[in-house]
Amino acid sequence: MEHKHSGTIYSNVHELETTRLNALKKESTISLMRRIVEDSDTLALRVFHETRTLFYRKGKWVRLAEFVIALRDSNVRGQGEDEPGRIYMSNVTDDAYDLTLAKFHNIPSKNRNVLTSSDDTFDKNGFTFGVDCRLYFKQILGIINKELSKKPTTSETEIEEIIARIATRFVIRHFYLSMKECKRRDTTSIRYAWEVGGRIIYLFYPSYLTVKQFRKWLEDNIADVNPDAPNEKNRIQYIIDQKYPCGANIRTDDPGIFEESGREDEPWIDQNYPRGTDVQADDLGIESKPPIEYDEGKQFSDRLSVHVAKEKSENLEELRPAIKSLGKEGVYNLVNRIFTDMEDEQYNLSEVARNFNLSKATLSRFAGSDWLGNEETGQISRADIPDLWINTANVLAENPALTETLKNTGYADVIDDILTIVGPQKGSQNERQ
Amino acid sequence: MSDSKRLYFIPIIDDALGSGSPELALAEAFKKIHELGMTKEYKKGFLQFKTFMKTIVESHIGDSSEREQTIRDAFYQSLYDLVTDSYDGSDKEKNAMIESFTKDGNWRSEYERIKSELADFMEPHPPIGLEVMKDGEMIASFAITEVPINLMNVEPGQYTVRLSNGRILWEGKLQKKHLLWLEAYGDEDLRMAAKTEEDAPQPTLSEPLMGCDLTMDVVPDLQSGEIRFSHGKQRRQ
Repeated sequence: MEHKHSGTIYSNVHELETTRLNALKKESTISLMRRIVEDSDTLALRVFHETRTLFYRKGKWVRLAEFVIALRDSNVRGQGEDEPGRIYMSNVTDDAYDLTLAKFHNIPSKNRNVLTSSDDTFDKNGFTFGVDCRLYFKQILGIINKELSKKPTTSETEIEEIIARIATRFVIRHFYLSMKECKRRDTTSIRYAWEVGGRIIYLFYPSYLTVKQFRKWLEDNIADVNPDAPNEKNRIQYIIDQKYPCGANIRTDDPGIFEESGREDEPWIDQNYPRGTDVQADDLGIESKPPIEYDEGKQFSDRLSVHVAKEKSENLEELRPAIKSLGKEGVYNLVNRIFTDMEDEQYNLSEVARNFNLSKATLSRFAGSDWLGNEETGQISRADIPDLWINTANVLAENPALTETLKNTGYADVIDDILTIVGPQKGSQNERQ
Repeated sequence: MSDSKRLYFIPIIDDALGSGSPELALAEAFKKIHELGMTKEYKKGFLQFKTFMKTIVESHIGDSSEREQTIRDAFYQSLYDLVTDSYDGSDKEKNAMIESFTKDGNWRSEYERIKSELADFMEPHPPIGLEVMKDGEMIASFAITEVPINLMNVEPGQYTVRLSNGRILWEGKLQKKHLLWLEAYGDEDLRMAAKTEEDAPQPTLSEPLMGCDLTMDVVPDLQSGEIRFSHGKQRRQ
């Protein structure tokens, strides 16, 4: 009797799901995306992937998975691959394929990937763990809304066309970003075969650790390992990545995606290790090396002027004799005066030189305002910049807010100069292959 | 030109760094420096600003390949954005960015390589069309610009009307009662009369598609029916 009852419930649930599935098939693509983002609607996600052919390839509309396969199988390469080794590129593009698909498939709930096909064929390197498609769909929706606000349209067909165009570009762009991320990780991390309970778990660790250090860290910090548990490898790798965010593990994705991720209420963060383990590298006898120095750069506790004035006055030995002769307090006051005058738009080099009993030439070399460049070309080089401003530049170079903003604004006015300093990536082979 | 004007950018940067949200304030500061730099008064100062910023980046990189890579990654991201037409900026900014990349020989090669790799994938797609399936087989496909359009010789079966992007607009069974005059109205003479009186035959089924963007009418005839697609309320008579 009970069996019959549960069978009826199952049948009703199944019928309801089929009805809803059919209704979703008729919904607009933007509505499906909203359901995915706002309601974590896995049925809407399924309909999106199974039925929507938003991508046009060789005269045919195809689904996202087919489009990403075409990208994988094409000659699209990541950055800086001149003549890639066949095997290496194959690994990277396979990983990039997995990661790109995950970006549009995964709703990481209860620490599992919803659409993982099998451990043998999907996400071999654990790149996709924690990837959340809702963030990517949210970003697409943002782009779509922006586009629609520019040019209001009432035709649903037109909206579907806009979505197809935006989705195509978005997926291509993310395939590239996935390539970049996978390559980065692949070349700066080392694979380690950890034997636990007679089983091997393959893990990646940053190249600056020795194998001995890494093994000790694993033994001391990863408890209750169950090699048979699904996603055990991913769970452990996640803890490692949290602890050692070295270049290998930096997500090189959209800043927009990161801003949205990592919320405390996200269900997929392992509650046992919400932020990785708390054990410090120092405690383990492992040399603690700041993995990303610029993340640890100094924020100013004072104004820039105070910071520079302090630094200058505390390093008198590095100053030219005439300036050094002012003494610690004198140098501090001089720098402070220059910054204050500049802020008031009252900086007058001759007057300041007079007030501090310096020759105009001496102060010009120290804090001149007219950086005389090449007379013929008008170009100014670093050598033309007076000491105080070089020092100010060096201080600013360690300020993460400034360097991040420069990056985020595309190096705006100085991109031409920076492009000559930082060239494109040269091809590199994966040494581990 | 005053000493302050040649160094006008330093207090602006200093102010921004002292604000509660330095990154936002800096972005504004760079804009302000640029705008002032475009005026004659601050031209020399702007030139010095550019050298100053270049010096900052050089100092920032120092001997760190990690930092250099971070900047390189940012450039690649801009390249991908440009090539995939995802660049989030005005057309003017976009063109300036492309010009910067193509001015430098090495970066130009990268820009062109990525562009050529993607040429296949970036081809403009045709307008989304309508597809009509009968019992799982496609029997007609046409651009929405071709509407109004009539599909003749429609026979009973399971039909699906969808957009070429896969979105289903309508699905259902069309039976004899929808498609054959006699089954629908039972009087063939009436149909003949209707024809002579230039009065349109009434559809047995009329469905608005995508809100009211399109209308699908099923109209019976003697041997088989018709499916007529028309725009919104401008239904064909």
